[in-house]
Amino acid sequence: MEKWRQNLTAILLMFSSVLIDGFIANNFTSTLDTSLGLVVPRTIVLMIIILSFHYKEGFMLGSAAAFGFIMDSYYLGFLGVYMPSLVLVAYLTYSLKRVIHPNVLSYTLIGILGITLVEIIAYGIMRILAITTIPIQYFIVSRLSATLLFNGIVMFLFSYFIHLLIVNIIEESQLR
Amino acid sequence: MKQYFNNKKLITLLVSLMFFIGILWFSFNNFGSAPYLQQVVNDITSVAGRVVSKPINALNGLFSDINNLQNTFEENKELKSKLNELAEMQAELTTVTNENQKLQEELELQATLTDYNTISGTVIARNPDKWIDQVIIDRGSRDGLVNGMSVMSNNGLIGRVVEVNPTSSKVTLLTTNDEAAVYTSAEIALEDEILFGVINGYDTNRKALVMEQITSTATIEEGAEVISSGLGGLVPRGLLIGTVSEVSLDRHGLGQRVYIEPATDFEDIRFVTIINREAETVDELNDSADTEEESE
Repeated sequence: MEKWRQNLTAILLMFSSVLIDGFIANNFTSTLDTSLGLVVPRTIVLMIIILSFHYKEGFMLGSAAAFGFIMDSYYLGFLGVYMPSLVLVAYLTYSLKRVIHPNVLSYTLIGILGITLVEIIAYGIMRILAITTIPIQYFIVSRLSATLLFNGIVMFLFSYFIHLLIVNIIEESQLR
Repeated sequence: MKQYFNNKKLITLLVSLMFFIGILWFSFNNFGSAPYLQQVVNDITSVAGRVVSKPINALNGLFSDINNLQNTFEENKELKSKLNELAEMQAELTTVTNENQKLQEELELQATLTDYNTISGTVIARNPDKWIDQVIIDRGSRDGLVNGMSVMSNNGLIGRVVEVNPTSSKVTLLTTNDEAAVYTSAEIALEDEILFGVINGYDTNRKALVMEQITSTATIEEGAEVISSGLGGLVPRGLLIGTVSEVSLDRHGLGQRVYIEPATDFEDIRFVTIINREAETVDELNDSADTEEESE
């Protein structure tokens, strides 16, 4: 029963992140177009990274695939962009989890790596499908840098509180 | 040293790669007609999105009303001065409308390019990555939406419906990177003639829509209104797109390229109006032609 509570918390957190990304993009469109470049909110990636430190690999890989499916279906309309990239982010976190202890700085570092991975995969697929024609140099300067900066700051500021929330829920369920 | 890529991992990686490429190819080829599972997922997510977006939209409306209160006195003065003009225009409009109706009856016209119905909707989310500039609205097939319908916001054309679920839909905006998704037949009415062209892109530096393939070399003045021509087979005629902000030569130097300042602020889209064109669309014409051929 308590396992269900833990898993439900993780699912709700990831679902909220999916909605928060769309909410930020809809309500702060002009704010996201900065002089440094276009900022893309990626709270789902940050959430998957934090949760991957505390949950089992099978559960997180499956959840990443499911929420990647939701992101593709709800925001893009076609599958195969966020499904593989979110699964790769979860896998990357599990690989690094063996050598890195979870703290704010390590979350931020893995967050930057994860978002770079997601952005490059999305850019590559959009180039192959001819949805965009911008060269990679322009992509790095006009999108990737601002996105990494924004999401890095978000991770640095909020990861501690989410980490505490998850740790408390897991400890409570283990005490019962 | 532990072998990092053992056979099992390599096989899993290759199978996953093939699976994701396959799913990408299949879903991209069927873009616009989502399978049942996707429709269910989209609708469930849109319901949750509405729960978040409705109070935020209400709050935004409250702030904008408070802002408007500050300008009320000046606006009131300006509006009072326009009231007399409005009464005359109303009388003229009634006469013209009656005349138009009688002429249509005489010619037995069933529907023209300017006839359309409207369906109102609210934006509940926006695609965060901006590779495809899309918004999700809270109207779907149950409200009468079909693929290809034009969508307006704040009296300006913003895009068209590209995917319809039972209770939500996706609208691709004219500002998207994908040029094929934004092709819109448009016209600019000058004093002596009407110029036809196609809106085929968006310039992010100038924040303006780009119109090319213009059929004439006539001089286009800045400030001229650009409206939809209705000739593309999807968009009704007469929908305001924007005003001309700059005119230059196209990339080949052979024709004119017009930059259009949009009538709508694409960075602040909250409420939309979906246009249901009454005249037959290209798809309907093709379908009826096929049916006639089969009956013969």
